Amino acid sequence: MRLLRAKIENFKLLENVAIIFSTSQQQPLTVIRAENGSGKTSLLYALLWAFYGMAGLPEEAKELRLTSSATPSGRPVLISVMIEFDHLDDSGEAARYRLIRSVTEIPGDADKVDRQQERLRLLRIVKAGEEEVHSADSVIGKMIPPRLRDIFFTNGDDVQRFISGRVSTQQRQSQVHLTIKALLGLETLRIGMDDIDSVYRRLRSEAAKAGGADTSSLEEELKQTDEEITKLASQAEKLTVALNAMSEQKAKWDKELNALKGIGDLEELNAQIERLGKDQERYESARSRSLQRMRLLIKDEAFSWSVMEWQLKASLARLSELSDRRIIPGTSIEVLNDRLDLEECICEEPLPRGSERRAIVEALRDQQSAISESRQRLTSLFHTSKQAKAVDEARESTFDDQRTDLLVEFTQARDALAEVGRLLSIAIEKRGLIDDTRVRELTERLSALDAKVANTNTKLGEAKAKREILAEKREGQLFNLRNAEKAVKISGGLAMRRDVAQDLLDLVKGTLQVLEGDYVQRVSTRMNDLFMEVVGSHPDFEAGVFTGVHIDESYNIVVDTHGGRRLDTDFELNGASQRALTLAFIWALMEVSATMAPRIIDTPLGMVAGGVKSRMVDVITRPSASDALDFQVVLFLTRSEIRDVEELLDARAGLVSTLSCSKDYPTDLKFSWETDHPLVRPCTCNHRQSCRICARQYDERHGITFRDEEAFV
Amino acid sequence: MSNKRIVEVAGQQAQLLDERTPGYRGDVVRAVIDILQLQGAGHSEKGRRERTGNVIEALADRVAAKKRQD
Repeated sequence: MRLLRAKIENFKLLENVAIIFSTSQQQPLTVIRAENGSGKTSLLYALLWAFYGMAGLPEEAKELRLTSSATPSGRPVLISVMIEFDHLDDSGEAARYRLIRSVTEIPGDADKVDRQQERLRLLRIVKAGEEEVHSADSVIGKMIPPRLRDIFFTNGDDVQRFISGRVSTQQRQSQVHLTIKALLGLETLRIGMDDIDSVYRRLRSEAAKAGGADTSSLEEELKQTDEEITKLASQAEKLTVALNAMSEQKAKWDKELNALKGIGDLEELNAQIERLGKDQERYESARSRSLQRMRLLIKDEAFSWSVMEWQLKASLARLSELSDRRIIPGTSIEVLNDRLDLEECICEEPLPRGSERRAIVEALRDQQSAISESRQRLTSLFHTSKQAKAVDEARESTFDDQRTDLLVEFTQARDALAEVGRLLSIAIEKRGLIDDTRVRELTERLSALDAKVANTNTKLGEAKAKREILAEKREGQLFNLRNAEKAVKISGGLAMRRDVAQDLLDLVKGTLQVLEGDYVQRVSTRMNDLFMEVVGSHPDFEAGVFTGVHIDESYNIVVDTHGGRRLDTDFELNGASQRALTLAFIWALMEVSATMAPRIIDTPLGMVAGGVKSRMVDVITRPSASDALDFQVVLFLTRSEIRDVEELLDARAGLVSTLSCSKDYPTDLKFSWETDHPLVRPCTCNHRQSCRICARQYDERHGITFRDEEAFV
Repeated sequence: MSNKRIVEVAGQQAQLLDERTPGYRGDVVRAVIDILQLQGAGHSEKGRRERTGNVIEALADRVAAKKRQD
């Protein structure tokens, strides 16, 4: 199919919009330039609605009115979309068609709407005029199948539908598989094969019956074997589906378990916590011991010697001096007492009681007694000091040395205690994050699932082995049947019908096998080439992120990176790469399947910039090689998306038109359209031009040339 | 949709068949395409298989007739 032109009336704000599409093989690109809110998505929906009716619109858009929200309630509006296109049918014959879908809507309050029966007309344009094509929906569905609308009509904001993890792996595989099947005609071939097989069996049975009892009986045996083979094939298919589902579940649980285990192994954490607890006790005890010893050290004489060393030494010197002068120890009191007892003085004068001389000696003795107490104390102090000094001098380590050692011990114990406390807190916090019950539950479930997978694989292996045995048995039965048929006379016509049916069956089977194998591989290889070109990567680039992309046996689109690792397309691929991958898949598939259908993409270059942007535009608008099928691309682009790719558009765009919306005046639009309600208008301005309809305040920044006219389409 | 690839591959596969009569392989490919096109014609499965039978029988009868002529 190749689009020629479209005319849209009263669809949303597209009151009267005509679009012409490029049909040039050298310039296959049509650009619709429009800013946000200027009708790009409405145009996409209008085209979808024209082809597929309400079923073609996204779920959220189905309940809304198709007319402008500015249409007054109660006023009937006829909505109509006309698309003219060329289409090449299966026999290779080209024809021109005009499709017109229309409906009358009577808007109610808010978004409520009374929508009447839609009308669809498909006209084949012939020399004589127009011919009505009957069953238009079905014919259109065959030309551009609804299930493939995501391939033909792509919303740039949702381009990753074939790779997104937002849907289950099974859904994603199914989407990729269905799309490949549909575009390569695998589905059509399979149905055709079943139809031919059914006819072949009937004809084989008829031929056998015509041969008599023996051939009939052999045919019956063959039929039973065929039925058993079919049953086993169906069983194997179910088991494969179950295995895929199990594999998906396993991947999910593995991921969850790994995430939980990523926090830390629970048993290991418990052991670590226990070990750290013991360390904590040990360091606490060491710290206490250090403190205790410090207290004792302060009580010790060594401390006094340390803090009062100078004073003590000075005192001892004084005491030594007193001792040297024999002031201490003192002995005069005992001598005076002796003299008083003898009543005779040292000078041999008598000291009789009551005598004046004796009174003098007694006074002297009393005086000496008072002095003696101090002297005794000084003597005692002198001896004690001397002894203490001797002890202090005999110490192996000084107070300072001991204090330094103790401080080191204490500091080490304190620091170790703090570190152990920190590690303990982390370990305890980690343990708190691990849902132990969930870990156990997941481990048990995974173990059970592994057993189930093994069991299912065994069953699948058995089914395949049985099938192989039956296939051999079937060969033998067929050989016997053919020999038996030779021995009896079967009508040549009947035998020929059966043989021709078998030829057709073999041909379709062979074709299917080649397309399922070689052609899917070709899609994969081409997708890789296109993707790597767009992202500017090569497997040999060591600094590159991607080493390649491919479609695996389960129809997953896989992104490979260095070290044999696969990248998660949701979390490890940026928006631009996701777009590049989806577009590479669509382009490769359409190219390999030689599908001639338009590829319409709304806002494909959002989130894409720099080299990737220009390479993406280059790849998706590149004209086909001369021996390949030509194609048509329609891009809906904003001015920002166009920036930096103007030259590519100059070369590739056969037609460019612009859509603008009146609501943007005066904020963005430079000129008023003098309209009393919002509407979208097209103009013929290309990506380098503006006119009185589309001129915007910031056009100068984009290097856009103003044409002082209203360039209506 | 275009069956261009199917026609291309079926043409290659047809070379593996016996050329029962001159042009037989091409006739088989055309018959396959006719059968595949029945899918878009809105027939029920039963109706489609009946028509598939007709296509095959018609081709076989033509081949048988040609063989008889030869």
